[in-house]
Amino acid sequence: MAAERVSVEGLSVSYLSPTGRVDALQDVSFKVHDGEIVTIVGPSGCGKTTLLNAIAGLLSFRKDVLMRGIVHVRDAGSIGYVFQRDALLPWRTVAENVALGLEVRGVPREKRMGIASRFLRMVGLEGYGGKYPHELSAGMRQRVALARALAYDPELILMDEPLGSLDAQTRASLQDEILMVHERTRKTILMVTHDIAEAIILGDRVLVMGGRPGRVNSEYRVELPKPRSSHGSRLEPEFSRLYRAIWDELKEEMRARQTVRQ
Amino acid sequence: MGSWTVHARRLIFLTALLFLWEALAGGLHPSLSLLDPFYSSSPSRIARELYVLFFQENILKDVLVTLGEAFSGLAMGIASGVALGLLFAYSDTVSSTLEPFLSALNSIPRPALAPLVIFWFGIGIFSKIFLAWSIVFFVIFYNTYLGIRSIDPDILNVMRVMGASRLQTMRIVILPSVASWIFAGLRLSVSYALIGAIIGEFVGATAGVGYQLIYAEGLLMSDRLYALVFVVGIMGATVVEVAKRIEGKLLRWRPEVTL
Repeated sequence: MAAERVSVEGLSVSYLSPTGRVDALQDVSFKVHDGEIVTIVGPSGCGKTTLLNAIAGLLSFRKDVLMRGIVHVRDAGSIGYVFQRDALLPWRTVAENVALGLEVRGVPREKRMGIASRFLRMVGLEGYGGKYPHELSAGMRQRVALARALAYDPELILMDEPLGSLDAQTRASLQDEILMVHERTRKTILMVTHDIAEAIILGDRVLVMGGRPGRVNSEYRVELPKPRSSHGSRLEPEFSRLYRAIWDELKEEMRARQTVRQ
Repeated sequence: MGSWTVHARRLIFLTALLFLWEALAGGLHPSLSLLDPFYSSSPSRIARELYVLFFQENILKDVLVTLGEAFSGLAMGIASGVALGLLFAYSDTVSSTLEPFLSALNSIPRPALAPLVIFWFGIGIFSKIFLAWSIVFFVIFYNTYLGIRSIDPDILNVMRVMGASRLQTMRIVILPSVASWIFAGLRLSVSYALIGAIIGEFVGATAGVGYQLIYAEGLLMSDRLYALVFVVGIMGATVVEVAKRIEGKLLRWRPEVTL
């Protein structure tokens, strides 16, 4: 088995506020190995984003966050992050946005723009480098965000519902894009989604989260044949089997939560 | 925007309006006269007065004085407004302490301040620069502060994950964002600066278009008042147009620039 890229052990996270304390994660443990795609599904509010932020190192500098447990990322300085909203700099061209990580690392302009155009080609946006983000559709902007996360060659890519705001067609084509990019770069990807189908199609493993505070309830290994595709993989019996199993589990989780509320 | 037919309609409307005004003031035929030209003036009298102002009285000098005051106030307002806006955004202690005082100061109508400012700085250009500054400063300060606070937190997270230093984040994200808010408010700021300068000249001055207006009023020169209002109008339109051009150039990346 490949080496560990991410290792989370007994992680608990709480947010402190003047009105009290909210527990976001409780005793979460899992590992992600090099070259894997691991997807995380779970009802909203179960701490999925908190988990990604903890791995990205975005919580450690916050005074209002209490963390216990271990989060270890091999090569922690080498992480790419794709958000649900593209988070592009609107005053920079598409190519300049893609080159951002290289700029931060001090790569000279000419060289980084060359790399940027290569990654734009990879996500199917050749010739759009000179445009501004507002001139692109939501799906294209998310492709730019993906290219940006890849361009500085990080070992681990975190994705927080990156396709959550896209329509079904665009979403399917970007799922294929992610599969293709993974095929070519073999990057380790940890992705949060609320779409069970997406989690199965993309993931080598699917982690199902639940509860408040959030925890990892179970793990499914996806044995779908490769190469996969957004439409093709849905036709496999394995897909239906996993979909039903995960759906049943999430339904149970939602029901439990409603009972607690009453 | 606007095909030649629209422009033609506008030209016809303007011509008709001027003819009507001229006629009612008795400029075309005495029998048509309904208005007292002492109060209403007329296009021809204003044109004659403009000629006098520009070629005999050298009004251009006053125009330049007022513009100089306005632009000095504008530049100082932008510099100090950005500085305090950054300080507010970076220090919660500073912002939470000073916030109510700044709101209180900003709620003072600036004309009320003018006599006091003349008292402090005298009737020279500094009192006008101060008044122009006192309006622009708050506009820029609030724009800067809100501009920084409205930066998408995910953009800052992207920078952090990429390992950007504070200085890099400042240069790549914060300052361009602040600049965009300032340029978006530039049109407003230049007209405010002009207002500040003219108010200062009303209260006490020895030069400038505001001074000339008060002077003409004192001597009951109604045609000159009309002519000066026209001059001030052209000044305002020109600076706003220049600001608009600058905005359009620098904010090319924006979806659209609102009116």
